[in-house]
Amino acid sequence: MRHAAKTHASAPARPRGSRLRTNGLGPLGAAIRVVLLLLLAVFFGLPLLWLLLAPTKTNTQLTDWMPLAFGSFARVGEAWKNLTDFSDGVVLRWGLNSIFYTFGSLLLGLAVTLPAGYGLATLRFAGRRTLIWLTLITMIIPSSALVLPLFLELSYVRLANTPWSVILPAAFFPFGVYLAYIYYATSLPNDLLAAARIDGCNEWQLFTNIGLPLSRALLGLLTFVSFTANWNNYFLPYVMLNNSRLFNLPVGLQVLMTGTSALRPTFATDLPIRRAEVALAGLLLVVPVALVFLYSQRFVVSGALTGATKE
Amino acid sequence: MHPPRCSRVAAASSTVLISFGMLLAACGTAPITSSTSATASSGEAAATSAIANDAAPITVWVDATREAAVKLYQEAHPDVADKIIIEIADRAQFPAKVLLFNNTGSGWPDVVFAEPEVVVQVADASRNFPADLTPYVSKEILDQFAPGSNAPCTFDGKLFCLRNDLAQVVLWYNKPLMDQFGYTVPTTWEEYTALGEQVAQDHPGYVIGAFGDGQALNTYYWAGQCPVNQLQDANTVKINLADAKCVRVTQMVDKLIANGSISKLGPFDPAFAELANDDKLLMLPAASWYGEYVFGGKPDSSYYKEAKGQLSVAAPLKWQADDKAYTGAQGGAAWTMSRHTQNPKLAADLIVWLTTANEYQGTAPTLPAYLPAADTWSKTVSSNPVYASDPFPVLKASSGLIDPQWANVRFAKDATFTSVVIGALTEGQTVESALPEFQTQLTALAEAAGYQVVNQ
Repeated sequence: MRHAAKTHASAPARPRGSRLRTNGLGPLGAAIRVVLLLLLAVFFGLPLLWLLLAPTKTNTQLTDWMPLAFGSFARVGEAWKNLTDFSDGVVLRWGLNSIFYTFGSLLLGLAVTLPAGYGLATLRFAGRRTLIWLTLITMIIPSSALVLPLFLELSYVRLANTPWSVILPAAFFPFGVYLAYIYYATSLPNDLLAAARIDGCNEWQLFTNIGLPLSRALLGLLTFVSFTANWNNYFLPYVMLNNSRLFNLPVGLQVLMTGTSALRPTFATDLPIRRAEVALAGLLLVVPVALVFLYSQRFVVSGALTGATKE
Repeated sequence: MHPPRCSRVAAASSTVLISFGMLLAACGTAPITSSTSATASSGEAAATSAIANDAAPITVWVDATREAAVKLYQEAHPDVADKIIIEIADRAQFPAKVLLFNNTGSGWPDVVFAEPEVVVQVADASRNFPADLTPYVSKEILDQFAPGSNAPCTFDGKLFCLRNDLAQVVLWYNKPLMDQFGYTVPTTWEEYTALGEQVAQDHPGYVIGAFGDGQALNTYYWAGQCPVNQLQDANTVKINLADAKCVRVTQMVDKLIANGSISKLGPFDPAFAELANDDKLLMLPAASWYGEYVFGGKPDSSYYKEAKGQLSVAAPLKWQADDKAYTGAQGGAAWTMSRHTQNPKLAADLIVWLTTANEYQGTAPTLPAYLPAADTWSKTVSSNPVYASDPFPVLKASSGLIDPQWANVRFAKDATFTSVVIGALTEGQTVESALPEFQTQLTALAEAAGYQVVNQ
């Protein structure tokens, strides 16, 4: 740290009012950097912009017009009506299901993950090391590999094709347990816990009065990671659910795309679900993740650095 | 300072319990495995031991387009309407889902809308899903389906599905353009070849066909009776792309692709649609539903944005050496019933109604396979001003010309054709040069699917 501070202090002072931060690259290097960043922004931004503009156009306009041309807001309304008219408004139902499954799994997952990570980090008990290893091992098993045994298990207890068949397995979050363990093991001072114990706190009080309030960054990171994974969860609900009224948005959109001519021109149908409607449905899927990210990004950054340094 | 022993024990126990619970949730356990094998074997018994129950509800898997059809049945049959549960499903998932249901011994849908090539997949030994509809469909009804239309649904003499609609390949052409150029509509593939050569010479840039995606296999090789997938029996398939009936097709398409009269684009490629928009598409052998859903004549149609009486249709082309014209198909689906259904009476009645009733088939999107309903359906196409003349007589007459030797098999011939043959074309090679590799890959796929492959 001292070395870093010294280096920083000896760096030449940047002229006030300079608008282009060269960071020692020189004008040419800075220009190259700006051009590269702009190119990357265009490369990654253009598809998003196209997706945003797609619902403003008709199917014909999407192929005949310039890719980034704007159609009309009226067309967005029409696409929304077509989408919500599809199968008696089942798309809205899929959206509500997505919210229910996502927050159900999120809350249940956090309720399990945080105490488990806290317990592994602060308590010493027989089998603790084994549990940590098991957590690590389950972290590296692809979740899709577990879907079939999960289906058999939940069918056995007659929970398949119910919301629980999506919420319960999705609440299994070994990455969260490990992250919570690392966070509490590195960020929670032992002396603080010892002082609280002297003051008469039991383990539950220690967790709720000290562990939880000091883990806002961890909570933010876990919330974002869990929300994103559960919101985009496709394979688990695809296997578990057969009742189309129970689908979440990713599974429902698959049905929407394969059962219409939107992306399958060989599908002869009069249903007014075209590419613009599918693009609008795609936006419905993306926007909540973007909003949650905007809200939790500062937690994501600070939480992601958990355990990166040891003071 | 250590926490009190009781607290440590409690916290440790809760941690262990939570983690163990999660592990249990993640892993299959011994009883489940045994249950799996038990239910798999009970699935076998279900075919013969299922007790019919006329009061049992049935679940129907349909796409969104056919949802309205089942609702029409409910309206027409209010006494059983509440016994029918409609589920919107992606039928591509159907074979995989049946395997899951076979593992758990429950969950099968009772009626499913799917293409015969999907039905053949769920009829294999591992899935064993469909019931034989023969006892539920009278001969009088079966006889009124288009000739051969239920052949793809018939496996080992059992009727595993009933055809909903047909998508036979016919010859669509731009009548004003043909008249303007003074061309005669071909009736044989030889005349089609000659026309292609003349168009390439006199009107370069105009096209008479598309060979850019998997549909080309169904359009040209199916019509040529090429043995790509001819079943000899349930587990023996003839694949011989060196057969004279394949060679004649290959020589024709290579010649016309080389002179540009057959486009290397697929019919749904935007650049190909632009050819049609620009009136450069002289004719196109394509499915019966192209008239309404691809040529269209509506502002959002792919080919013709305006209806100006420019579209005509001719009968499928015949090879001179053949006794009659045979054609291929691009689509056409069917209804199948589960052998696990507890209410076969209602399930079968629904299937028969959906395939034959004018209330639905008379207004269905595509050509009904049941000919009396097709007559009612004819009004929906005859009124479209995009047609130069009523296309229905040709569509009806050609509905029985689909070559029945082209079988639904348990391997992906279309996808393999696209990757091998169309891929080779894209790289500048000829169709002929790609066929040996296509033969090799098809043979390997067929053998992997349990077929014995013969070439004679």
